[in-house]
Amino acid sequence: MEKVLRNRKAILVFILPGLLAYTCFVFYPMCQSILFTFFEGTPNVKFDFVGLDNYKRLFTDKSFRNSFLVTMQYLLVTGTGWIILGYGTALLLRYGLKAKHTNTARTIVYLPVVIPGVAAAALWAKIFEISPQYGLLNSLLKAIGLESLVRPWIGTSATAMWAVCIAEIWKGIGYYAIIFYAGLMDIPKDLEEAASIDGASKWQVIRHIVFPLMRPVFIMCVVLAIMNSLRVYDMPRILTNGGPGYATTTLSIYMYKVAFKQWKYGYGSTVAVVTLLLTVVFTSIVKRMDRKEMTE
Amino acid sequence: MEKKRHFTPGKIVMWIILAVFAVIQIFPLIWLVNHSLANNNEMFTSGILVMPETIRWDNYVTAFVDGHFLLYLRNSLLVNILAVVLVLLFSVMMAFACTRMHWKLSGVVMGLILMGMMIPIHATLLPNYIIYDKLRLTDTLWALLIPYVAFSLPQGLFLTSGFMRSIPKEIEEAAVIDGCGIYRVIGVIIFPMLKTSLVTVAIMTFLNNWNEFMMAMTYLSSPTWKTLPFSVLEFTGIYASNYAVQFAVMALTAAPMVIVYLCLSKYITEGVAMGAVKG
Repeated sequence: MEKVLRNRKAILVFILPGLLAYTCFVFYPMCQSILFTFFEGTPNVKFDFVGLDNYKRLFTDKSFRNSFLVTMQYLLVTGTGWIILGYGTALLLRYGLKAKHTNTARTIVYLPVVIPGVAAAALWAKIFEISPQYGLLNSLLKAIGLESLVRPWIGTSATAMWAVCIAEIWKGIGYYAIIFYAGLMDIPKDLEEAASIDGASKWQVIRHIVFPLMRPVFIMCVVLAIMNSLRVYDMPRILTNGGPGYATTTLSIYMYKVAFKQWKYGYGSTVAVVTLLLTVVFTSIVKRMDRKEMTE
Repeated sequence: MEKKRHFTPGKIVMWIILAVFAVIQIFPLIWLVNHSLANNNEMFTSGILVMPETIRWDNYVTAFVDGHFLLYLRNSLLVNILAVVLVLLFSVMMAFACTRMHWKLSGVVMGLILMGMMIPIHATLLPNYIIYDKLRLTDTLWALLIPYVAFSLPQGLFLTSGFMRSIPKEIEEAAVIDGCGIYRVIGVIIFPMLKTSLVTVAIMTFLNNWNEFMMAMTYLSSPTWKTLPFSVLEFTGIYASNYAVQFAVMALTAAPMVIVYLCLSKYITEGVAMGAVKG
């Protein structure tokens, strides 16, 4: 047995293809991205070492500051929306519906998640539209007599960000709902039954038994929400292309513009690395807070 | 537990919330399909939903033909099926080598690859573009297949190694004692035992990559290997004034995944939940 499990040739055969693909096209490029942040120009042609200039530039670049703030807003609004609505939906699915309806309800809830981001974004562009014809939202407002509220939702800076966030929340709720729901299904039924036999109301059971037990799932969903909202690209790219002005330019869109429209590889990489850092910092803060509270 | 048939105020409120929620989730899609079957002029005159005089299937014909639908669908299917197969194969082999076999660097390799779950695509987009450009891989099938496989591996390895730990070692040991070689152990014993868990990995990989657009847009420029999301993007440009056709192309692009989802919804929702809980 031991000899078979130490078979070096077999280990190489098993490990090499995957390891090569991962190292060459994920790990190595990521390291290169970090290295690029100290250079400016075009790689292989004229790529000059500039030290920390790219990082210094972050602090004076108004567009960067703006897209950083947009990303934070995105994180806050969509992240909170996903978690609260996803959790709420999961609770309704688990405790509000009869068992025979849950499968249908679950299918509906998850449906927007499987629609390609590009198609969903194009659909929401039509929903928010004002000219040449009213989109779904504006026609609805007109139909219920609120014509004063009709406006170009994605055409004005005041509402564009909210519009993109709502579309993004709509597309994502199902994903978090399904994860929360799976967590709820894992809670032992006899715990809930014992509590309700003792006279606890449904809400009390949820508050005092379900919520504490769901804590790990909740933390995991928060981490997922942070990672996903920092990575977001399709929705603002198609819906508003970062506009109007820079109102919906997230870090990912700004990075793309800097790197592939202005051809500043070094500075573009710096923006990308900031996104990476934000992901690492925020998720580790959440995990640390979780650990701290657990021990208290 | 006793069954109650009373409609308490709480229950009514809950049903209203549920109904509103269901409408919000589903109505945009109904609206989309409705408009995709209308005449372009009808849309400008009527209210929220259109009652088309004749159902305009020709919108779909236009979308189908001018949207390069078949070509892009073929590309999407080809890239994604190949990616799923390769991810499954590589993940099982690596998981076996890392969790079962004895070699010094197994922990290091595993840690290195699992770290990949944190790496966002943005952080590799630029260098990868340069690498593919240098290898003359841009605008080929490889420009999508390679990153789709490489980026799905960390999660694939994570999930499969988790599942593999639950398989008792004695089974393989018995097989080896009976003279079964290492490759046959994996192919004949491990693979079949992991079957249900591998469905999860396959679903996660497929869902993540099917809708991927950022890399596709960066690494591809000619239509030869473009994937489905491109039909929507190209169409909104060409048919800017013909709304009905734009709706048709959106519906058409979403259709394959929606159909697959409706057929496999139980597996997909469970697979995603399992993948996330383990991840």
